[in-house]
Amino acid sequence: MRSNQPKATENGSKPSQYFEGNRKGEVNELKILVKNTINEKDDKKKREVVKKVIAYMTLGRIDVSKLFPEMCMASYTNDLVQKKMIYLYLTTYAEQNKDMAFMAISTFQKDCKHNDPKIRGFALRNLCSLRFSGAIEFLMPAIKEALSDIDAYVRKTAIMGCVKVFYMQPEQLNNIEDQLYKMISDNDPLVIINAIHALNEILAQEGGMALSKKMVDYLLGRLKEFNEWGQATILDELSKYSPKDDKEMFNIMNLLEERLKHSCSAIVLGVIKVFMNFTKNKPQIYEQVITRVKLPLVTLASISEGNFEIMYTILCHIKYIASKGYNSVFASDYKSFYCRVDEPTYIKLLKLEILSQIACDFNLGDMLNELGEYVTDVDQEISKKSIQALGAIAIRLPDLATAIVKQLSSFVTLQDYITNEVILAFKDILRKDPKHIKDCLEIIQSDNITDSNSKIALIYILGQFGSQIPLAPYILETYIGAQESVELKHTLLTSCLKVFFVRAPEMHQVLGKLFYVIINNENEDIDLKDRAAYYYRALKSNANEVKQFWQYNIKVDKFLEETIINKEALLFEFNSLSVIYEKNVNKFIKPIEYFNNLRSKELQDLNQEQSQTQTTQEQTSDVIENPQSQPYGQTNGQTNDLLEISEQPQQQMSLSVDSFIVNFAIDADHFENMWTNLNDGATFTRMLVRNDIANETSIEQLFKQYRLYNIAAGEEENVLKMYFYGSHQCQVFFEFEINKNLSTVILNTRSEIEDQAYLASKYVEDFLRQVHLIE
Amino acid sequence: MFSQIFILSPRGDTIINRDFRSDLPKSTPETFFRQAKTYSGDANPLFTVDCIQFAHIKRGGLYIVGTSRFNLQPAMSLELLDRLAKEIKDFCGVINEEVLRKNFILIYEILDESFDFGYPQLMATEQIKPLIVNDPIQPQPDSVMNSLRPKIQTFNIFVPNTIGSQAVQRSVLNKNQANEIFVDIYEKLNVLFNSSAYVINQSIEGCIQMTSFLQGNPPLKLALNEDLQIGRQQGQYSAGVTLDDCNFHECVNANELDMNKTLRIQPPDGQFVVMNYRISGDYAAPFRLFPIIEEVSSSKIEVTIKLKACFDAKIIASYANVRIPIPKQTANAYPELVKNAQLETAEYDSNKKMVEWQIKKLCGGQERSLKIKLTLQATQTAHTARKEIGPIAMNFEIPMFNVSRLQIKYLRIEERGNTTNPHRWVRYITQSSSYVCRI
Repeated sequence: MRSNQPKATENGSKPSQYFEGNRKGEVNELKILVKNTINEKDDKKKREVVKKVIAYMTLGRIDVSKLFPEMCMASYTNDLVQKKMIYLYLTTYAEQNKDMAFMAISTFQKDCKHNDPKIRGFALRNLCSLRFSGAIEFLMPAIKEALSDIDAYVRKTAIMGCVKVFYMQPEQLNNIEDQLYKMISDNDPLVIINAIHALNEILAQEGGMALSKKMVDYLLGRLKEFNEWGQATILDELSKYSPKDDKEMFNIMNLLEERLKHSCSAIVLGVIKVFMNFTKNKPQIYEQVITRVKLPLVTLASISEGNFEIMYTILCHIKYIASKGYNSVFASDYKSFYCRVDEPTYIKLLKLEILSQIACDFNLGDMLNELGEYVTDVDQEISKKSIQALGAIAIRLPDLATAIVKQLSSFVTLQDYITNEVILAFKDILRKDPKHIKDCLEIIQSDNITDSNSKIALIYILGQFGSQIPLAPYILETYIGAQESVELKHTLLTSCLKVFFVRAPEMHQVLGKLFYVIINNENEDIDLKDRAAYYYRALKSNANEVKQFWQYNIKVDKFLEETIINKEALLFEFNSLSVIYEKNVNKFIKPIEYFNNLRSKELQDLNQEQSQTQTTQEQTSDVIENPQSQPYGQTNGQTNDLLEISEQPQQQMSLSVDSFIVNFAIDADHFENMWTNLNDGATFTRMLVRNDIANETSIEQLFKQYRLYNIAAGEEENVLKMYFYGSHQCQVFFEFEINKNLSTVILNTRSEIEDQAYLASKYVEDFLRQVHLIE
Repeated sequence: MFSQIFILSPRGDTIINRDFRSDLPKSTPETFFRQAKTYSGDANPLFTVDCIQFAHIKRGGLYIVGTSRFNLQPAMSLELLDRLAKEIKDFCGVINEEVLRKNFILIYEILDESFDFGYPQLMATEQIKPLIVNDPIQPQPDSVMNSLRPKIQTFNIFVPNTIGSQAVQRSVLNKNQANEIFVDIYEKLNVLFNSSAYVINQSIEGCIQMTSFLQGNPPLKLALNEDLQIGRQQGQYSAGVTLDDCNFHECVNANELDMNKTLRIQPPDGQFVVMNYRISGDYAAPFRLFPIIEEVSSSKIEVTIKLKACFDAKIIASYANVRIPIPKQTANAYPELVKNAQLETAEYDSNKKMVEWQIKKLCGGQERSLKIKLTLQATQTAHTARKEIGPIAMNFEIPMFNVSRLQIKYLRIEERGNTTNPHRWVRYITQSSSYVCRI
């Protein structure tokens, strides 16, 4: 019945049929279908069947990996259309079908020797993608041969093959690096680029490909032969290079300058990164660079040709540059950052942030009108963000704050969410400059405040400026006894006290009521109750003295919001995801082990599911009499083991060398300071089993390999004591002791984060065990 | 470098799923879609979940997604996905869910030639073409029309049925291809009027886009206006066409642009943008809007909008749509067209609180008007509600017209001894990007 269906597809009348259906028996039906079509002569029919399998593979809802043997059989075909599809299938499922994957290898091998370079390359690419270790012995000879193929298409595929092998069995590569370095002088640009990629992955531990002056000159000379992605790759390499002198630096920069006119943002950002890295220690030239790159950046940010994603990336980078203290560079282009109706929200939000950064005296007039218009935008997010932007400008430019405060006040009659947001903005503005209170009065005394955070802000303002807000006591009173958060009640208590000291007659009763409500509420937060009771008793014993305590003046000179220079951001790598997420790289990049864990967990879940279905299947058959029940019991046991592993919390994931910063350095004072101030994190004692390396130099070397560095050491009466430190997510400190008299090894680990001390301790234990220093 | 590339339908179904490196979980498409749905609008093009990096673009309602465990170059990853989308468009003619579902095998082929182990390989349409063995399956003729209308109607995405646009919705694999090239000069206008109809911000974003079906990719020479000037000096005005800034495609040699105003182009197959430009100077806005708001009583408002087409009478706008947001407290609204209005409709959408006025054809010099009678709910007075009217936004397209006066003087094929004379189709199209009138 099903075999009739492919015909219907040929004329395309039922487009979505490949993706229909999801029944359990479908796999078996499909299996029979494939089996039956292997001997079919009509390639068109066969194509349709294979296509159906690929469709199911894409959907992933039913597992077609069981078709592996049939698909292997089907791979002996001369029809390239089928072959391509079958290879796609085989590479996808080889990992799960290691035993049977060998069946397919001979076809791949044969095709690797085909006359047509297109087929040679294609077969090699797929052969290298068979992800199981057994394939390696067939792989390496094929790759070696292909690396010197006459056709560039085959060569470039072979290079990628090396990287694939690197992730399966790196030792098989056998110093392939030299050959890869040689291939950088290949005629074909793509071969060169792939060689660079391959070297960067294979030599990742050493910091990637080595870049000599000769190499730089060579690559720059051929730059225009590469496509956009090749150029972007080379530019990224170049950004790691440091020119020997200014002459070389300017030569390279002059050469690259015309690339700023490119319409491909990857190239433009690549060039800017090179410029910025070259001049980072030359502030004057650096500033010239920023001024020079402004125009192309603004152009890329305005011309999107419907490509808002690229526009977003460019805007992120503009914001980043502005946040490094170069906001004035973009000030005259403020109109380019006005929001447009056709832009998605994420662009508009970003533009609002940029506008608030680049506002200055000469553009503020226009900008205030513009931002004011966004406040009434139908999109609430935009509306809120524009209010935040206005607030941020008021704080950064105190001379112009009055106009902003007046404008913000004028929004009071609008929607509730606007009032809520305005109050939040006012809180910060008033903290910075209390004189604006007179312009805020109207909105403060409006009754549209609904959001919890805004209420807290309002209560804070009422407390701080109680003497100037006529209605303050009465507004505060409305919050007493209301169903609100503990945080709000704390603020309310503080504010009521503050107002009490300046307007005692009006507040006396209000405050009394507040104390009563808090103290007599059985379910009230303990901390809040204690505070209320304390104030109550203190006021009772000597109100005047308490008043004196309260009327101190904290003078704040500098507000965090004022400095738009983001210190942390100074370290972000330009043209990397750090700039987009505004996060340090170690917050979102994890070493490969982390992902291997995720994957094996996923695989376990899958296996578990399968073995469960197996169990039910086997249970239906006669298990007891079956002598095979023994191995079945074992599989079951294994599943349990797996279960236990998967139940371990993720944090227990071990650290690797990569997680530590290379050549991290601190001074002895810092070490001593940290060591004495930190609590014991983790400690272990193990038996010493190897004496030959139990000396200062060897241990220091060993630790250094694992990116932990020695700061102090000493030996007394056969007891060797050494101190080490290292840094990954946080700094960790170690006290390492070998007592040769007792044959013990003791490690104390301390860190600001206890979990990290534990992980680091495990990390050291693991490598000590690896060198057999301990058992 | 990407670990995986997948394409999801607007509902989150996987249409294409290619795992290059097998170093990330297989569940990433679900992870992606779940995260993307947490944004109130469109999701950020780049985000991270569980230290997996997701880069995506949205084309034809589809999500084209790349994942990675590395600190990607953000611009490069998005440009790559965009390039991939263009390749798919070149091979399939259009990019939408139906076409992708029909051609998924072809797309896997394209993907495998474009990426190896997640690294970009051959990405130019003409390089991949000889390696592709599958033929594209064209959608049904009537579905081409369907595909032009986006599945999810939003405020701004309106893909018009531009004249001649059918011609370029073809696959480069079409064997009976005519030897021809399409050149479009697109200009998108951004104009902002304040309440007194005074222009407070305007700019043009333009591009010269080519769709090449030329056999053998011969080098081209493209000549632009002789009075073209690039780079605007403060306080300096010139009579010619002045671009603030521009940038060029990889295949363009712009060395002679300053001298001869010509570009040398080594055209790839399919669609590409030769040059982007931006103009911030003053220009005559093609449409003017004159809104008048009258408070008839405390609960009634009358809004009258006049629209004037300020361009040559020989030129006809193919459509002009006006959207007028009205107060949230509106009880009812009646848009009234003038008597005998032709090819015009006006509708009130009570959910969006929006009046949409659509004009199918509008000749230069003509004037149209619309009256909207609003009745407010008792909770709000006309005086406060009128603040909520607007801003009025316009969408339009004017073929064979461009505001900047940038022109193509000629387009020549540079090959010596070239005897064939391929067809060259040149179009000028002006569209609204953000055409807004505040009240």
